[in-house]
Amino acid sequence: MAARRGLLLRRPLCSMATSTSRKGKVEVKQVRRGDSYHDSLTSLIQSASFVALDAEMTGVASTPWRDSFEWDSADVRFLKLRHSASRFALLQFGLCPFIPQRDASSGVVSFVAHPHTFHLSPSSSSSSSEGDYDDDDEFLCQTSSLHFLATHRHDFNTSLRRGLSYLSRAREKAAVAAPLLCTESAIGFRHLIDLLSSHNKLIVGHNCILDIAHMFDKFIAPIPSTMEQFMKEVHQIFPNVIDTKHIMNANRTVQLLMRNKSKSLSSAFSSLCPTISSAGYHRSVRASDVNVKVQAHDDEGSSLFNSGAKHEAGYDAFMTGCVFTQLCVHLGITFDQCLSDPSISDPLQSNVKLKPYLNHLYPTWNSGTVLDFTTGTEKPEGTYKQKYPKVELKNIVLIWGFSSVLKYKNLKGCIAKVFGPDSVISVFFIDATAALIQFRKEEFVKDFLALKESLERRKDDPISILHPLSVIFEGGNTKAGDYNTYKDVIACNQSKVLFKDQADGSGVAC
Amino acid sequence: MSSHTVIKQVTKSTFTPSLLRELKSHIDACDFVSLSSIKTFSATSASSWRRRLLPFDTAETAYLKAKLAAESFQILNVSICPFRVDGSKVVAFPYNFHLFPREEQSYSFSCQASYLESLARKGFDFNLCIYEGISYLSRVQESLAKRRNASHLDFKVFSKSRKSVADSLFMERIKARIQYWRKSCLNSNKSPHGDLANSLRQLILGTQLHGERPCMTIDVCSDNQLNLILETVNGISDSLVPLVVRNSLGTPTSVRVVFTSSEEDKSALLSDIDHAEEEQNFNLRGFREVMDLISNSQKPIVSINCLNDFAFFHEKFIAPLPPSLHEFTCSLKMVFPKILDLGHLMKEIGPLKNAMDTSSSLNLEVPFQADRDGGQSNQGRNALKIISLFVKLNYLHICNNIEGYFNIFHPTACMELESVGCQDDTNTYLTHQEDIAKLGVHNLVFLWGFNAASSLQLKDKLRKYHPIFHENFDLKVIDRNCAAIAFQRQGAVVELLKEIKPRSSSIENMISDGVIIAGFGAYEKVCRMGLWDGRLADSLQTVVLSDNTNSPLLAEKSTEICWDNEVMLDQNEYLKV
Repeated sequence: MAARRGLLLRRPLCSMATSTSRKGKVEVKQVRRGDSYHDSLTSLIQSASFVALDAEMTGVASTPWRDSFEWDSADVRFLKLRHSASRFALLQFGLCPFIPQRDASSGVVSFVAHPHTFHLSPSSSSSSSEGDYDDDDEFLCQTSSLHFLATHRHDFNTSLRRGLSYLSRAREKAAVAAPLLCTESAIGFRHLIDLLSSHNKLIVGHNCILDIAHMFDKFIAPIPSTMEQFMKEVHQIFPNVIDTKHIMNANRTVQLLMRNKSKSLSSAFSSLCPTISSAGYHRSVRASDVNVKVQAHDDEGSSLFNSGAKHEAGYDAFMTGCVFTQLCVHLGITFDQCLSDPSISDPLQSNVKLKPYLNHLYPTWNSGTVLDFTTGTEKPEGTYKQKYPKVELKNIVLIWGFSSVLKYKNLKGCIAKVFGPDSVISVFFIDATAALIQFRKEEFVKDFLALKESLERRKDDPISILHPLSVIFEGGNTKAGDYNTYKDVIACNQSKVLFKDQADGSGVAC
Repeated sequence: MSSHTVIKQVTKSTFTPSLLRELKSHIDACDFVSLSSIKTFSATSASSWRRRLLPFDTAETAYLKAKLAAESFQILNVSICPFRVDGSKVVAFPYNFHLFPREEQSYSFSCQASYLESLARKGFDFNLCIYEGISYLSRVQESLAKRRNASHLDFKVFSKSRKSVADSLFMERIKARIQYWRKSCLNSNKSPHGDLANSLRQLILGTQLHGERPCMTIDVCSDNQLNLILETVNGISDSLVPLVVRNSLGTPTSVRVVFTSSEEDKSALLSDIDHAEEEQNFNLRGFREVMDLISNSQKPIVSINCLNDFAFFHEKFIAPLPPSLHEFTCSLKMVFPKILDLGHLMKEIGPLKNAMDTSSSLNLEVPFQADRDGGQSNQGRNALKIISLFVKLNYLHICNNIEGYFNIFHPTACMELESVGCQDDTNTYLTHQEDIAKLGVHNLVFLWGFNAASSLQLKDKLRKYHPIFHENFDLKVIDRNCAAIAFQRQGAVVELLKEIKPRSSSIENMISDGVIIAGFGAYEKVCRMGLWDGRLADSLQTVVLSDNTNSPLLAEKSTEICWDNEVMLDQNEYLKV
């Protein structure tokens, strides 16, 4: 049984719970069904310089082959992203407005953060009310993700017993015909998202493409069918998004600073914001550090505050915001503008030094590219340190259903016998039942598929049996296709554990 | 039964071999075992056509839907209650097992959100399941895992009759290495140089420790090398025990040669290994041990909604579900030879409902002691409710011939135990059974592509299309643009479908409106081909388009269905016909 965390803390109006009291102790407001949050948070969002966010979901990939791979094209990565965001549910959504203030004595601008964790009900997860899919009521869980959340003491009962429900914009529209479905509280939480949008608030996330996709799917409408369209629509609704992971990878100063350090959120938080993350340990405060205080005040005096922990959405949003303020310092951005001229409604997003990073999101896989939401394109990012060599998609053959004893060596060996010793550049095993083979030349793809067909036509002929490639086709269940076939399989709705079963069931041409 | 009846809650930490022995003794001493489970889904509260049982589902299509559900969803709780009837008293031993899979068993699974929330409202503890749930492996998964993690000692030595020169050289080299090391092990006890020299010597010789015993590791590159090493070790001395070390794929990577000091020491080592393996297997099989226990006891199982529950049990604890109902029942019978479906029983005794003893209350005795904390002991009451229902039905004296009711599932009745548990609702249910019209699948057609606001409007429209619709028929809207029509008259369907394929002029209007009709065979095909995604109309359309036999897609064989007039299929169907 999970230890219930947190106590019901009553705090006098506007008291400061500074983070300097104990190591890493940050009070995070917990919002559940029936808790009031709307008015106070609305005014906080309005006066915030930026709002950091984070989401906790029930999983990321429904099968091993739906994970992101090195050889995934931009299209395939988008299909996987879309599947993930539309099938898994949100358990928590973290919002943390950062409000600027000038320190009376030093005159330096600091921030007051207001971390909120919203516990969401999975039952309102899908936005496809009108759509092609009839299973509004179902969502997926990835077993390892639930185990992972359990190790971080996630309280699943709160989500299911007291999670907020919400309606996407698309659903609200559709529900006009059946007004019973459309309750005030259900729209309530969504209105906060609308508020972020209508104020063109600067939204900050860490490695947040999946969070943005979930936000779109849950609160706006089903994700469109192409990446371009998706980026365009997101940009219309959230015109100012910052991904701190992109800044860490794209800025040379930060790269140097974080050399050999993990860029995961919590590592970045402790390495970039040591005074916040380990406050109370006598570290010297560096002049360059931005001071962030956490305010846990409460007008109603009845809210629940928990001391934040890693992988709680509100706390992760808080860490993300802190990391962002520190990254701004390294980019040479000062926050004076945030207070000096109230006529500038968006001092940060119009800052010349931040501009190059605005609306550039880190993709799900380091492919040496960045997603530019302003233009709706995926473009090469020169400064990313790329781990893998470029892959020629048109040189790739997909095979599946082969014998389970077939290993890299035999595969490469028997193809080399037919197409030449250097014909295969590399082989990538999607799982034990499927592999992608990258040939040196595009024409080998066509030749390979043609050869497969002719060998199958003359199945019992001795030439076929003795043919080197017969090792791959032994058993008669091996199928093959080009890279488009791979894409077609990924595009299918079902989620069979083995790629082979998915491909056979999806009826793709082979 | 009192609401304070103690139900033993079993989680990862309390699931031990001794608990299993206790359960076994209760099962052995009882007449029946009642079984019930909580899944991440409930067929009765589902809304989509592929999840719900519809009035035209046959046993076969109901099985295919149960199979789909068992493959998609997860089991969270299994409540098991061995019980015996002592005259007017029932003695029961209720257990409730909390389950949660490991990643290896289930990479991901579906949940029905509204059902999980209704469980949460009733106090179901999801944290307990996810944090403390017992994992399991099906029989098939276990044998696959065993192949991967083959035992340390079961590698047989195949002595090749002829060894190559390289083989002999390899063996000589290994032999020399082992003998030298062994000598040092024999001497180390009487070494005059003290601990430091000993540990230095061990370092140089590559001696490690296996528990408290010295051992050395020899890397292996092929099965042939493995064979040669095992043969060499066996040839040197009985005091050396070779253990094969494998990687996660089950490929041998090295041989660990363990030095034992005596015959007793060797047998102690071997029994330690056996023990460790036993424990590992217990943890690996997890909850499956309980299902094996019930299976081995051959005791009759009493349950409700058997088709669904046992499809889950088969998929999770035995093997992947076979493609047809017949294969499923054969396979299930081998594991659980006697299953009594209360759903079937209630259908059978429908006419006898007046005999149902409404005054009797169950005299239930549960000998379990309340735990000190006494907390969440209320989860898993369904197995007790099943007993209560079973006993009440038993009072009707129809169960004298209980054998005659075994292994017949009532596939198309899905009941909420909550409602059948209490007396009044049981009577309502039994009365209701009589209203269900017995029709055959040959009375049915499917219709889609229409544009009508209500079933009444659709009926009107149909009458204008073809005179056959002036006959007596019933119509149900399945999802927004698909309907099932049941004709009273035998033969009406055949007459209607005959006119479809050659496009007779009498239905010209219907076809030009885009309305399509197909026989029950189309639905059977949809289920068999697994075209579950999307709307039923789209799946039927796929079948019709892919059918090039020009047949009207009649049902394959005549099967009875239960056309339940009370069932409302579509929430949007506000008007009743």
